[in-house]
Amino acid sequence: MAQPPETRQERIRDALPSLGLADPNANTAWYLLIAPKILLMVAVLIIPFLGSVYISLHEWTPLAATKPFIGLENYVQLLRDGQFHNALINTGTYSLALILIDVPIALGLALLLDMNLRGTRIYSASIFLPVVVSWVVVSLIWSWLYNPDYGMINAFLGIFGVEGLDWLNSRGTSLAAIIIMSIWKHIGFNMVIFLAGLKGIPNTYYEAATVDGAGRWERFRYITLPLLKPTSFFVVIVTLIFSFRVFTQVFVMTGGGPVNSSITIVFYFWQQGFQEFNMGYASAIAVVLFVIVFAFSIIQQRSWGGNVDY
Amino acid sequence: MTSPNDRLTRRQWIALVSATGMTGLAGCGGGDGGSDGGSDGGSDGGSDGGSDGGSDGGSDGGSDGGSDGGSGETATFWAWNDPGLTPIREEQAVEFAEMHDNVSDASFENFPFENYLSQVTNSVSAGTAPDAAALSVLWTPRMIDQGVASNVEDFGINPDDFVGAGRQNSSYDGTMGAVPWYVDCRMIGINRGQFEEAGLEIPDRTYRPTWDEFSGWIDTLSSELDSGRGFSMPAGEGFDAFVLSNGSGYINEDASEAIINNDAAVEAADFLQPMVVEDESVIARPTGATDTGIDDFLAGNAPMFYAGSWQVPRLQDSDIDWQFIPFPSGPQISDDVSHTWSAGVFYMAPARGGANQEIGQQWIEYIASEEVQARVTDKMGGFPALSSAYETDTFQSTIENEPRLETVEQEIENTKPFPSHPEVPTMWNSVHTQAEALWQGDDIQTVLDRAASEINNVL
Repeated sequence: MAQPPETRQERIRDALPSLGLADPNANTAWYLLIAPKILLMVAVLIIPFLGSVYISLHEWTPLAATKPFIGLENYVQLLRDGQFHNALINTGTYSLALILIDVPIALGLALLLDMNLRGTRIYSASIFLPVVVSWVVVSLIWSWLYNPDYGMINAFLGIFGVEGLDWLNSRGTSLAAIIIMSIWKHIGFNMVIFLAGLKGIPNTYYEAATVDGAGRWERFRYITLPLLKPTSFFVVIVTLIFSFRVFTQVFVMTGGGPVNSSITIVFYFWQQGFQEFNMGYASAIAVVLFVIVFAFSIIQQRSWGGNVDY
Repeated sequence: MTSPNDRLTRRQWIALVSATGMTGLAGCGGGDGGSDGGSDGGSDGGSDGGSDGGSDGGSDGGSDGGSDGGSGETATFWAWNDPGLTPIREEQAVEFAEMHDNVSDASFENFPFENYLSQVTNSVSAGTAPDAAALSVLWTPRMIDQGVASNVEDFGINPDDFVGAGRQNSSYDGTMGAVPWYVDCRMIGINRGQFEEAGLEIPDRTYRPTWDEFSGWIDTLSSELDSGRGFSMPAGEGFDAFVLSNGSGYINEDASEAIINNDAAVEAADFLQPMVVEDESVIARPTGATDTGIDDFLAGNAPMFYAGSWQVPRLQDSDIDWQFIPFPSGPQISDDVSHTWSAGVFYMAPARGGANQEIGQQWIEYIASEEVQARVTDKMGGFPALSSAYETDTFQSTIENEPRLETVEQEIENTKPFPSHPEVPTMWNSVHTQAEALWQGDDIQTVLDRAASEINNVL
């Protein structure tokens, strides 16, 4: 005869070892629950990072019999390395362009879509679509679009009598071409984040402001923008980190050229580590990249990261 | 006694068991590569471990070792992806396995070119090296210098049996660390139909034009044809070829100083730069590899291109009426010859890294054999590195069947080996990056001085 569910549950509980896990004061169960994640993070992030720091202090080439300790020599060399400075400037330019162009446009698009106009879903889906496409695929497609002989972009410019450019093969336009493509690809992501932030702002604030006679600009300036502060902080930080990691589009579209005009920090890191096999030097580049991104994140958090309650 | 509150709820148990299971799976997945590699290394001389370490984390290693049942070793060779060469390599692997009783199965593993060198390097470091690995000419000196490549003279290979450039490209500091499967040379490929259309006389296959003649053809072709272009070349290698065919190079004979900024090199840049920058009659593709010229040629964008002997199969498959001519000879070359790089594909047997050295030696002997070398031209358009292979009936009949290879046969003798230095990839990158600056219109002497300075830094 079947036992009542309560009784069976109790018997199962009694049969299992207690371990004292459900003690509300100990919270052992919850530590166990997050332990796999912590272990994974330590295994794939913390230990490799510490390993990078260690390797960066050595003259480390994979096939060499000895890997002598050289202290900070790799870092000193980085300070003198014109190529690294070039990569730093290019990455900074790329990052700045994305923050100054991508983020405001994404906010504008999110505001438009938040108005619940006709066809909003189609618009948001089409803007978000590039986000889910692989960077390699998008880079290859845009390489064709940029082709000086048969690319659609030059053909389009030609309609207006504008002479076409050798987008990817000219030192003056290669980085700009990558920036344009990256903005197109990434803008949907920021837009969705902004849209989520906008949906979270209670309508009562707008209604109150409207009653007080606030116009559309005042409502945006004094309600939307301040209440979007946490979202904006997140978007800027994520865009910053994303932009400092730029590699795939450079690898596929320009190979860092011409004349290193589109070389970036991660691309230079890859070149040094996996083409030249200067692992020590490449690790120093990786550590510097981490320090830069970490410092920017801290600065932004200190100056801009306060929570807003509503 | 415990109270019900001290116990885990069902949901908590499910979460714990799931997390533990996931962690266990992740741990098992990560550990397989190492454990299989290690066990195979013990049973199969490291060959299985080597191959599987690179491809699939070692899971195949166990099954391969088991199925072999001790009847023979599994031989694994590595190469980079090349659709034209892959079928030939597969045939060779089968033939190799049939020829050797100690080998039950042989196969190639192919990797993307961009990651290939790091795969080989990592496998040697990790003790999972393949039994033999293909090398580019740029990597061979480094592998010898680092003690990775076995000295093939220890296998009974005589360096004097090989053509000069092939032998030198396989050697560093007196050690021959690889054998060339084939050697190649660079030439000019021309579209005979477009030459006729532009009113130009089609040159003989062995006729070597001067630079003046060559630039005259470019002028005529670019003005008479719709494409508006006369010649297409890769920005870096194309420049190299004109530098070499004017008597210069990267470094001097005793490898003590860069010469890429000497008068002959400057003259080469001065010859090309106006045609690329001002007239735009020459295409210098900054991105991509050696094969960018043939892409323009086959697409009808250029009636002449920087050609390599390995491109014969692609040309044969096209509808274009093509032929080769020797690279034009610069004014500084007094003996009416031109020089271009000799490259090819080289095989090394790793001396360390867990490779099976017996199989490595057998592969090197197989590749260096007259039978394999004599067939290489018919198979893929490269030319034998073994001098005696040129006298074989197999090779002679190949030339008779494809008379357009006459140019290659002549020009193989004029090729130059790459600088025999472990840092030759750095030199290559420096010169090619600065060549891109030339095609952006930068001052020639400044650009070449910069390349020379970068080369001198690594000498």
